[in-house]
Amino acid sequence: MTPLIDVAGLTKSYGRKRGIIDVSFEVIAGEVFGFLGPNGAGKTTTMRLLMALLYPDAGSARIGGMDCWRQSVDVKRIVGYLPGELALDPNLTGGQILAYFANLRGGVDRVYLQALIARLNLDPARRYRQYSHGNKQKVGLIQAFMHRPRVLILDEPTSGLDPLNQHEFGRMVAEVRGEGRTVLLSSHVLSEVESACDRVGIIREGRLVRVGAVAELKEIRRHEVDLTFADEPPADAFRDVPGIERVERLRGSRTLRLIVHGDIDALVKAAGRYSLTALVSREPSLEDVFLRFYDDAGASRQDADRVVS
Amino acid sequence: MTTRVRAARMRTVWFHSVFLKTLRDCRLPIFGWGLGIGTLVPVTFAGVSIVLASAAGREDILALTRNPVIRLFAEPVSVETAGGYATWRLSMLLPMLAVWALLAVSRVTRGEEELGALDVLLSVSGSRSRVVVEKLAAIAAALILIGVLIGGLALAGARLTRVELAPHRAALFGLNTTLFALVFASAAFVVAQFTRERRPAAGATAILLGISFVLTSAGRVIAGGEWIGRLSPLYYFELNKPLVAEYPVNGGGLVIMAVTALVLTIAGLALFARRDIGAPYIVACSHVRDRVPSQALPMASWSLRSLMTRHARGVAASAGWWALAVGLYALLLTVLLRQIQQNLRDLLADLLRTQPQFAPLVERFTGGGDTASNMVFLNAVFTVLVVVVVAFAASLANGWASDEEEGRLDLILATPSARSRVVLTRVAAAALGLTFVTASILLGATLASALVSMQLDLRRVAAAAFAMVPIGLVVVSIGYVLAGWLRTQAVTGILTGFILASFALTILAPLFKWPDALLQASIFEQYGTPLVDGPHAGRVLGQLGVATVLIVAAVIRFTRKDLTR
Repeated sequence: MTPLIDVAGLTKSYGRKRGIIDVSFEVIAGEVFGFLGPNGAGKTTTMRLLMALLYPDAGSARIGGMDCWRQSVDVKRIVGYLPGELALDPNLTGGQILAYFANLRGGVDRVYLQALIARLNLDPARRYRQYSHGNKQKVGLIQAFMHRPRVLILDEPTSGLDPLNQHEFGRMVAEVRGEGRTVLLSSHVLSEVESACDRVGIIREGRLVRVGAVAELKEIRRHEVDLTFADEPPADAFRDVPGIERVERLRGSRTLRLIVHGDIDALVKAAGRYSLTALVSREPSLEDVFLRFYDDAGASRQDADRVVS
Repeated sequence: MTTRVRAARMRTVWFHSVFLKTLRDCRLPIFGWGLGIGTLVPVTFAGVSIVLASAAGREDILALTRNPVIRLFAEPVSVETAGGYATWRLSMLLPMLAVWALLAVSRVTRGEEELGALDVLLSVSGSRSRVVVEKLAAIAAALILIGVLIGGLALAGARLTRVELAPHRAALFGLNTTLFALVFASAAFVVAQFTRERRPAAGATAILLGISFVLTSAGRVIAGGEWIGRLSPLYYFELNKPLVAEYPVNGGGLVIMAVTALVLTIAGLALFARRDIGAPYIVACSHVRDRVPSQALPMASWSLRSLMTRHARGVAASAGWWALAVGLYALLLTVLLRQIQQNLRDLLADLLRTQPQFAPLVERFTGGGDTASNMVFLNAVFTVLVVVVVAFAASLANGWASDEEEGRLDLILATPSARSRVVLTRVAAAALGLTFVTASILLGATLASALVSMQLDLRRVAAAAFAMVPIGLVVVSIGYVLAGWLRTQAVTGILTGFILASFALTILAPLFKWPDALLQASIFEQYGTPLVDGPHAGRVLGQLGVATVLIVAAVIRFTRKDLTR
């Protein structure tokens, strides 16, 4: 299938400061793609490059088959964009801002626009400067969605939204996906990415370190298993069990916490040789996977310290 | 302790208090304004000393001061001395420090409130009054340092050029300038209590500064109208002329300016302490509700229909205030010109009694019916108005740079609007704004001429007023080109420097007999004297050509640059 967003070898630096390095990924039509990464990793730079607000040092980016720089005006006809930091005229009301951007886009479906305003419970009669952070974000979201773009590029879309509106936003994204439209979003709310996105790209220090389906990423998961023994815990007994990455005795208890990579079958069989009073296994969240990518060096050092041998 | 550690400690010292941090933020203006204005004094001393050395030079200067219109802007005192000449020529420039002062106070008080930066500062320990007092104290300290530089450079210049100037008079020269600027700094603080944003606060205070100039002029030229001048802080600034050796020191003038600044600051603090942060005083206290706008989306509103209409609406907001200010200024000064003519007739009354044959001649020049001489009189007013129009043009360029820097263009560029279209519609809106402001000059002068029966060649007045548009466009386009590479503060600094340098060039080039080509580098020389000489089509076309080339360069740069914050 032809990708709707096609990024290849995209590189951008800000003088001596790193931006992004050789970032490549594709997003197909009808897909919701999540961009994960800590502050300064390069998520916003990538999105601003796609919106032709920045020019790349190397690489290419195409949306709908069009070059993001050479055909930027045509690209922007099919894209709705929410920047990470909204800066709008503080003297205009929310309604005036939406009317202005609707006119710049050559008009929008007013019924749909009113529906978006109602869904996010925005008061369009207030001046932008009088809005709370969350309400400003709603103005940004509505202007990104209001012309029913084929592609939505949303930089931290739920920032400042209350849980109810975050939920409503999730439903809006699901509807967009249901209509075969495409979303590229960045977020720090990993549970949101986990539930909303089909695929995720993890960016670290300007490089895309992993791209995969949410399910795929969770495949590389580690289980956290707590074994509580009737007698003194036999820590050494699990050292050679396949997949064991870390064994730790919880202070003041007969419980061992084990971090297992992959299948836990061998561990359960090994534990069966002992008298157990409890076995608790926790599913790793996407957050755990994400943190692993960012804490590899530190985690390995900690592992060495904490392994009971 | 190593040098590097010491340097690092010195750097962090500036972040130990609100006062030091604010003072640190003023370091560039301190040196820029202090050295910029301060250098003009020794340079003027050097130039005028050469001119005054010859009898012909002295006669030239005296002839210049005999022009009655000159009194409109400054009282010439002892102009045949270096100190007197410098005082007279710089009397319009020194008070310009008040412009920086009012901008700085509006920025560090209402501006930081507008951005939400004050919320964070007020969340740390310390009362809200203390935070603001420290900020105001830092601006006052900056003004004192600028005064020290101005006074110090005047003294150094006097020593080098062997002009008589006692150290205490040099100090007084700096102090006088500082106190005048402080009055408008504290006025800006009071005005900022009644506005929601920085720009209206600065704009309204700038209008007060303009009114101050008009009142002082009126006090000078209206017979028995000295009381009008006393209403203006500029009057008290002019009571002292420290560079003129024999001119007495007037402590009262200094005290009145200091007390005015203090009273205004206390009033501002009282208002600040009683209102909500982020809201103007009037709303916080009267509980007046904002008019509730309609919930319906204003899709058909004219100003929201396109980039051009939106930009025009944005420019119109500030252009309206500038137009009102310059229109009123043109009106009042034209009225005052007529007053000067009547004063001259009164002066010549004795002559007419003894030599009645001169009556027709006197009537011709002072009766308001001679268009040619009226145009010569009005020309002096237009030389000031072009400076104001250029300042308006600089503010338009500054607005473009700050919109880009603050990210206000991001979402506009996320719509299907080409970058070139965005910048060109903005330039077109700027041209409209300039046309509107210059039209108000024409309107003011026309109204005044009708009110006081002063005959003017209105076609030439119109041509002279609209000839300011290309001059303004050159300044706008320089700003747009600079904004392609530099941040807002740098753009503002360079444009301010350019305007001040042009002003200085106009003053100094004739003194030093600099080549005409150098004099033509001044934007004000490019304007010329169209009221007297008539419109100069070649010059206007040249200005439009320069503006076009610069705008093309700005568009090319903008279409290729990264939009970063």
